Amino acid sequence: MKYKDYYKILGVERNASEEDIKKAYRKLARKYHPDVSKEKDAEERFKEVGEAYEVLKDSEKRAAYDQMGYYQPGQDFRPPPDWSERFGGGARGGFSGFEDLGDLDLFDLLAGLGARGGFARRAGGRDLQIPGQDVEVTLNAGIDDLLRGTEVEIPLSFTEISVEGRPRRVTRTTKVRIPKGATDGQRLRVPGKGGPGIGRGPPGDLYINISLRPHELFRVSGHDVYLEVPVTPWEAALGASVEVPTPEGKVSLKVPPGSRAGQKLRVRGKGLPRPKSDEHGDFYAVLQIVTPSVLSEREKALYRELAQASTFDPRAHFE
Amino acid sequence: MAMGGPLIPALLGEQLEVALDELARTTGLTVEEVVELVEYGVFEPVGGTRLQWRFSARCIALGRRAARLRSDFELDLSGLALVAALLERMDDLEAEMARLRAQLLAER
Repeated sequence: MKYKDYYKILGVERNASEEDIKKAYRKLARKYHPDVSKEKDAEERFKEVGEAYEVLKDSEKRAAYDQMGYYQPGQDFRPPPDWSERFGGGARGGFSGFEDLGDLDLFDLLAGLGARGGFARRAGGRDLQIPGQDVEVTLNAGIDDLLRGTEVEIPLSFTEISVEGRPRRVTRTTKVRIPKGATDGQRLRVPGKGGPGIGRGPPGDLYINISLRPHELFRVSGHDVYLEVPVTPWEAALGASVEVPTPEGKVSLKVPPGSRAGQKLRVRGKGLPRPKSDEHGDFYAVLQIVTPSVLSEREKALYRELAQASTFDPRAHFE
Repeated sequence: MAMGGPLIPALLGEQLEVALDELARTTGLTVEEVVELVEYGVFEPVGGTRLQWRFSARCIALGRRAARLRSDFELDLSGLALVAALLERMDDLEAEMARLRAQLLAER
């Protein structure tokens, strides 16, 4: 089992008062809570902070944690021999010996303690019904995945409590089909595939948050796809037919004469599929007018000729 | 170990609706808390009486976030309602920003 230094995580001394612990937690929660924080790694940091607080705010769990001894964070350790007798349910038939708890998470072990008196009592109570934890995961998907739907395997680790009251870490892989129509920021729910319930409690649900990987060319908003299309000044002025990529292959795009920079040309139904229908979002080409940075003598001469011939004044409205 | 074919999850969008008890169950809020949050305008169900209330599935994500904030920050319900309203407004603004950003020309 790997040691975690809960005091260090909260930034408090080992003899900190309950009030100090609460204050430290609140400050860090404000900073890292994933629902309000924009910090990098907010989710991971908040999980650590939440775990630390969960253990240290509860006097029984804190005492059990303190009795484990002090190690370096991340160091492999085993609680002292009498620890499980004292905190694991001991004489009441709790678990003993940590040989097979090697990959158990420290927090899972401590979370099982508390008011109910060890894992054994929790698992053994006939009428005990504690629903399993809901689990939320973020899935990074590419545009292709959203276009065709995709199948993913999501490995999740849980602490299960056997009938003897012995906690053990299990990893379960859930195969999920991300249906066509999901898009960036979409949430999906898989009932009953979260953490296992305790006693006769039902399992929790699995929630999947879809996060779209940025694409080199395409930008996605809802089910619409945007692509910046560079055109020459003469293509914009005279109109042109240009070939552009869409997520589903190339299309020929008609740039109308007299096009402006930033103008959006819509290609209906070439965006991402919408849920539960045959409809798609739209594809937008956003025109960008690009001037060559190096001109040949001939090009320069033609531009000069154009400048002299043209009466166009784009700044007329400044007068 | 994966068993059987892939599961097909429900997309939580506007097209799916849930009743009061299901919203409470899936969010971890109590029925009373959901009712109070309706009074504060955080959730806007359609239907006349509580038994007829239907909530858009967006409320599930909203409610789960509210439940997390309530327990992680030890908020009371009126504070929670305020936070939820502000976060929702932030979501809308971020979505609008993302939409505008998708249409912006990149600097070259």
